[in-house]
Amino acid sequence: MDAKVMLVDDEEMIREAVELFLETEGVDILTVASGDECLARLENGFRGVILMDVMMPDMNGWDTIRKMVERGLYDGNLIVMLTAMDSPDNEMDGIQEYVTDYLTKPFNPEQLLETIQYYFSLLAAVGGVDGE
Amino acid sequence: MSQAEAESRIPVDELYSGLADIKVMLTRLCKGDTTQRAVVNSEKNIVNELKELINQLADHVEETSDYAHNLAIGLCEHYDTLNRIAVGDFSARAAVDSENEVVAKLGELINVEADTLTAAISRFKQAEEDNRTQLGFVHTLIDTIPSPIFYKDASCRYLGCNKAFEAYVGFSQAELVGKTPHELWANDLADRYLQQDQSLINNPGMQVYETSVVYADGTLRNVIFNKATFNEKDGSVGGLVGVILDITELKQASDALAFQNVLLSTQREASLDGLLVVDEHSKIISYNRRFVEMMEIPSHLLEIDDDEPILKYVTGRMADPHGFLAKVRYLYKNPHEHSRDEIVLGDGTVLDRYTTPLLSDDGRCYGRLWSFRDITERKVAEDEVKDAYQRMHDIVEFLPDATFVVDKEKRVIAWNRAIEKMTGLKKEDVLGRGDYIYATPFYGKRRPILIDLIFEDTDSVRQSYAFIDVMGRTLFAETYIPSLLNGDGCYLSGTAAPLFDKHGATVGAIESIRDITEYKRTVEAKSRVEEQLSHARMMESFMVRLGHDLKTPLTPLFILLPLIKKQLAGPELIKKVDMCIKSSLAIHNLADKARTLAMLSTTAMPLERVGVSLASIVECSLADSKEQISQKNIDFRNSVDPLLVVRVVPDQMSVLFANLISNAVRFSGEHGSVAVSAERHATAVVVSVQDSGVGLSPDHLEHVFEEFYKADESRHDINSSGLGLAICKQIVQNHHGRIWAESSGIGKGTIVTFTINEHDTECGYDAKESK
Repeated sequence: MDAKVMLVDDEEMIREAVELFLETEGVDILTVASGDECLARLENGFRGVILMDVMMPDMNGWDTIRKMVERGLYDGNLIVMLTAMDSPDNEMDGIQEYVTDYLTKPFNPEQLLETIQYYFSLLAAVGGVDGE
Repeated sequence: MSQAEAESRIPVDELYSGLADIKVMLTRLCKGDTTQRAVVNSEKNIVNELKELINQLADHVEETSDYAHNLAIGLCEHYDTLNRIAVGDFSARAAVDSENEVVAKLGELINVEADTLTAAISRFKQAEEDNRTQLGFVHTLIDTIPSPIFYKDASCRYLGCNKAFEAYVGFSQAELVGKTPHELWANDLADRYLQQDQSLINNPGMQVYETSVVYADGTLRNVIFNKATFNEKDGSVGGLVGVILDITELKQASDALAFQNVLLSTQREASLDGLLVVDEHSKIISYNRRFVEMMEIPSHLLEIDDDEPILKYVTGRMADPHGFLAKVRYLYKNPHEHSRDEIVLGDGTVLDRYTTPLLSDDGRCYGRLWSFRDITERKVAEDEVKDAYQRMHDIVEFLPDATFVVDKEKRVIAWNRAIEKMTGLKKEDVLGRGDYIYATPFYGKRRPILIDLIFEDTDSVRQSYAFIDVMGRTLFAETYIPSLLNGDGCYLSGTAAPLFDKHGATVGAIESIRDITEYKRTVEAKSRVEEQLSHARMMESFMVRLGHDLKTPLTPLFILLPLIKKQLAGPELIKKVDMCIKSSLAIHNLADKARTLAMLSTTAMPLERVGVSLASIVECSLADSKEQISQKNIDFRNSVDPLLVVRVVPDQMSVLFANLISNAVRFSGEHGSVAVSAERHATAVVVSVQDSGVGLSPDHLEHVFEEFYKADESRHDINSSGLGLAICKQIVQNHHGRIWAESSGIGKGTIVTFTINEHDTECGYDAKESK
């Protein structure tokens, strides 16, 4: 099955842990280490649930979303932000409408799985992603 | 003396007396007394008298010769008779008389005639002698007259002159006599002389005119010509007599005097001072207009010729007439004294009164000059300056900094209370003294200091200061003086600035000295505190960062440990993984709390208070503890009045209640109770969270709000971070309140109470009470 989840995080440990967990749960996940890579995958046609880390070097999560919107790559995706902050920061001003949900690090596996499955079903309902 | 003689003497006496008068008058004229005037025709009279005298003399001579002639005729007749008788003509008879009679008659006649003749001759001779004497006298007299005198005939030829005239014209009398002006002088001058002379001859009498002439010595002289005609015996004009009066010096002196008078009167009137001059008898000689204006003397007093009313009026204008008069009287008694003082008029006008005697070179006193100058404005200005100076002095006196002022000779003119206190040197020992007296309390010797740099920039002085800053002409310096404060040493800062007059010239300088020892120590302490604060901020920032960054490595643990646990078989391994899961949760909890505490402590965080219902906050804060409450069957009571609204930072208040309730629930046993209550007091709201839990020993009560402090009961509780109550304390502090814990002892429950000061007053958190 084509991946329907993309994790964008510069931390390799997190990418690998999430991959390992979701594989055991039968969820195909694509992991990328930067905003640029994320945009490249979107250009190649990826559509699905995007787990977006906020704090990344070079281009952070918010800037990556802005570029997605600017390049017309947003539609057909749902974005869940991964943050270590307790509260949203100022940088999200003007783009929070493009963010569907937040997960605060360290999230537990059940939380993650529930979130992904919930938004999968939501996307399937609007016909954006093939249901399982 | 015969009658004829007596008659002839009269005119001589008169002439003599007249000439004597003339001589007196001429002499006075020569001395410059131009008021001298002879009786209009006196000269002519004299001349006439002289001529009459001569005529009378001539008459006597004629008379005498007639006598002689008659005698000769008689004798001839008798001689003829006698001669006829001698030749025998006896018929010849002398008329009537006999020979004897004839002889007798003859003799008688001869005697009579001879007597008459002798007397006449004698009289004539006497008259001639007198005449000669008088003429000689007149000549001598005229010669001795210093004014040039000349006489001319009717055709204006010189008849004679005196010595002075010879000197004047440069010709001798011999050269002059018989000459007309044209034969002696250049045409224009001769024309002038001739014109005047002829004018007089044509209109006999007196001629007086002033002109300028060139003397033989070449000098130009101002002269007055006094000329008069004299008559011949027949009454026709015989000529003229002239006297020249040289008035050059007189005129110069008179011009100089006139100039001096004009100058003096102009000066007097131009003077801004009122001037009054009195003579030695205190009689007013003169005064100027300013004096009249100044004293406001009414014009009617000036018009009357009496000084007394004026002096009385002036005296009456004085504020102190008696003092004024006393001074005046004293000075009249001591005419050689000068005096200067100030007098005040009744209307408040202040006059500078100056008086000086009028003394000649030989010390004679002619009177006194009084000068009055209106100095009211100056006095007012002086008083203002005095006031300003006094104010400056007062300001300097009460300046908190040790301050002193020097004049341009560097003499101390102000030494204030603070510097007396700093140096122990009293005003009376310093004021008016120079030669660096001000340096002695600081350096133990007289030497230039900062204030001296205002007058002269000296390297040696500069070097004794740690630094010298210059702003405009003000100098700032700091120095350390080891000898001050009983040898403890003292840091001083000095500020010195010049003092200027209104023209910008430096007239002195001021220096303020401040003991900055305390300040220096405070700055050092502050610097240490700031260093600590900066360190604390760094630590806070570090804690926030650490709390954040720990979450990233915890994420894989959170994801993978449950995965591992699922894949494990055997309870031992599962138990071990559970421990790992718990540990990672504890790390997460600790990181979270540490980060929260660090963020609450930072002053950079804005404290925006809003009014919220306290009861609602309590309800919202229950979320984390709800599970435990139901598990333990705890009786939780929120007794806070739902209408009680407090002004707080809601997020912080939520964290506060969550922590307190969580603690209360955690340390309460099954079926325990937890109650939250609140009361509004005058200045604060007092909130309590009471539980029926394990309680605290008095030792613990003092420490529970310290960071990482754990009471025995929770020491091994992995879910206790040891930061919960520290966070609570910080939140209460942020609300300017106090927090403290009470417990009746172990097993007897705990009450944690805090206050919320709703107004942002500096109601500080009391560390002692909070424990």
